[in-house]
Amino acid sequence: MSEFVETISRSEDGRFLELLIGPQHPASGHMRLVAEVDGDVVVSLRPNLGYVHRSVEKIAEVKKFLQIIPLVERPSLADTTANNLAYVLALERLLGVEPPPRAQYLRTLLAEINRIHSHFYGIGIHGVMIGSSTAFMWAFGDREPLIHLAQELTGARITYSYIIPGGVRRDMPPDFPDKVEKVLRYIERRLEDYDKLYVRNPVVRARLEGVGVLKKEDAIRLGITGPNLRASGVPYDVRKADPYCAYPDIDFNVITREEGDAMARFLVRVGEIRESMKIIRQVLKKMPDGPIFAEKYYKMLPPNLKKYYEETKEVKFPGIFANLRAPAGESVARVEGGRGEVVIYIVSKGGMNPYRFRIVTPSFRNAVLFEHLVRNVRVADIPAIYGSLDYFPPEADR
Amino acid sequence: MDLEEVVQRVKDALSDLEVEVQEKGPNVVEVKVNRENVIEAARKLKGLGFDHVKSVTAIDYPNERFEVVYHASSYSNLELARFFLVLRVDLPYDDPKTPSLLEVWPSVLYLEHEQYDLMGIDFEGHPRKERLLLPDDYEGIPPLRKEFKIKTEGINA
Amino acid sequence: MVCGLKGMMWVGNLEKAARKAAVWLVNKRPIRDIRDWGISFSLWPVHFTTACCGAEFAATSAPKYDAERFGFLPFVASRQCNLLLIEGTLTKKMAKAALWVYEQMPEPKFVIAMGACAIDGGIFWNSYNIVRPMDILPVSVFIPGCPPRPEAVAQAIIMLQKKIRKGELVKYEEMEVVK
Ligand code: SF4
Repeated sequence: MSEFVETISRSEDGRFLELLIGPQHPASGHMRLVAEVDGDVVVSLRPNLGYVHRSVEKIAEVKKFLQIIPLVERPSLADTTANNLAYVLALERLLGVEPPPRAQYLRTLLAEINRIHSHFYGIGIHGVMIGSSTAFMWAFGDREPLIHLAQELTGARITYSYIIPGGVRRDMPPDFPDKVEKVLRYIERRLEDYDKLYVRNPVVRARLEGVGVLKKEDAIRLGITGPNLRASGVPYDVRKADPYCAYPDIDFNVITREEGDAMARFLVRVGEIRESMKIIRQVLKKMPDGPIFAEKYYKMLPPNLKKYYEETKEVKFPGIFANLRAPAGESVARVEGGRGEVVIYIVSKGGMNPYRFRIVTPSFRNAVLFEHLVRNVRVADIPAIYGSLDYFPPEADR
Repeated sequence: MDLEEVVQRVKDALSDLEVEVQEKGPNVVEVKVNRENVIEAARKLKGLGFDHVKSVTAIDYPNERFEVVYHASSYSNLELARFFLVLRVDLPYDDPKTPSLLEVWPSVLYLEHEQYDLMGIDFEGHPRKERLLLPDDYEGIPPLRKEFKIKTEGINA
Repeated sequence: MVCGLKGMMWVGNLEKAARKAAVWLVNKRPIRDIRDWGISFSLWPVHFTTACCGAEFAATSAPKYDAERFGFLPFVASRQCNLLLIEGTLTKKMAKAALWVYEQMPEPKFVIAMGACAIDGGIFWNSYNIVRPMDILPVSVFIPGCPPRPEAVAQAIIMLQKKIRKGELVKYEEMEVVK
């Protein structure tokens, strides 16, 4: 049996001390870490999850298919598009609908905008944890232009519910590409500053380099996902491995690094921000014209909603859609979100609710890294490692 | 690599076990196995390159059976990464026990633990038998079972 | 207690008397107004994230919305804070932690409940694992929304400040003095 599954052994002579970190701690994580320390060295650590367990899977069983869209977004609030998209992809596979090309591109656009601001969120929280408030302030400040863009597109700051079965909720405003370009140029400029503040900062390097090294074999064995996986040299990205939406037509690289330490995880995120900007530019350039909503559902709209759609390019579902029935069967979908791969598995018995709804979020799969990486490190390294994982407890606990 | 090839490979690898191999959808290979053979099957599938598990789901069919569904895929072989390998194990309703696949796929550590916690499936050989997501003092029916009812709103079918 | 001071003799519980005098003094106008005014501009919410609303709470303290201009700065240790901001759902496990944090905070202390979840469960109203904050904590201000926008959080801070300045929330007479 692999060695990390050993339970914490209490030392007989009282040499080791059990240290409880959280759930109220400076890093604002909603979880507790139970560490066993020998002096200043952490011998072993177990995350204690469940502080934000809100039973999304159970509630989904009594909600209707459309009502589940906002529900799945809530667990990972900083990265809602990934969950929204994964759920809608799974549902569409069940329903057998295919969104039109423009909708595919709009989905990709929002997913990438969301990825960038989710990465900034991660960088900011990482900054708080290693005691650099500047990084928090900068990253959270630079998140705002992107949130503003997403708001122009969808109407909400972070909980978009933009992606609906058969398409997207509204079309992009006519001057949107210019605004995006402006923001992207700003972000490009800012990334250089981050280089100075973070990447070439000796203090940050000393705290992150060589800390929490995750080897490639371990990353594969433990089923790690997202930037944490790619920082260990595994070039797996769902966008390449199992392309969805507009990704097959788009040219981008999968960022990987070989070191596997906290710094590498940080650098992969920065690299992905750059790639996402590339994707957004291509998406805007290649954006096809046409409807944003599947023909099959468009036909079902009553005339007044059809007229509304033609005038405003906004989709409003009529009431009957609340009773959307999915045929019996099951479907599974995966999507690469900011933090990693979201897997959604729906079992339907042909009713108005799913029979079993399963969502596996990246943070939950990465939770095992706490006990794997935080071993034989100093107590002061715990926040450096924790921050570098971009772990979001509500997402892990669901 | 296309789906048929993967299905064929899976079939070949599992030929000496009693399994049902099917293709489901564009990139899903489904393997049905009974619980006596599950470890053996998992080991062979791992040999094919399915090196990690993405999700473990237990499904409750009241008074009939439980089903445990593993979604595995590959990180080391990017061609295989396009496919989902779905491993399904049926369990009798009054005896929800199945061998844990931890020794084959360490990635099931938390995933199986969660199903133990929320669905009450006993994964034999899994070292953790405490609460994971529920409060430590939780007692009663595991909440994801169908007999555990929560409030619903309006007229709900 | 008897104590001598330059040949004079004071008799009685000096400490108690002093405390009484102090309470009388801080509750007297204009000292009371100055006190409340001061408190309203030094709100220290404790770093205690309970659920996903924390993402918007973080945005509130970040540059664009800059809650620090209201004298509102999250701080790490509950012993030095006077405001508990429940950021969203309170699960059963977290509710215990919230109570511990609340008990550790020194008086005067205030509670803001953020998000629909903290009012009546919000989207998770029928979950088996949640607690309504108002059942366990004295909440002064609720912020509706799921998640509330940072502007709404800022408004809640201002509402709380107004309430404090009206003298509704801080009452020293009832406070138990810890020795
Ligand atoms: S109110 Fe909404 S955003 Fe806030 S904790 Fe609840 S579900 Fe999350």
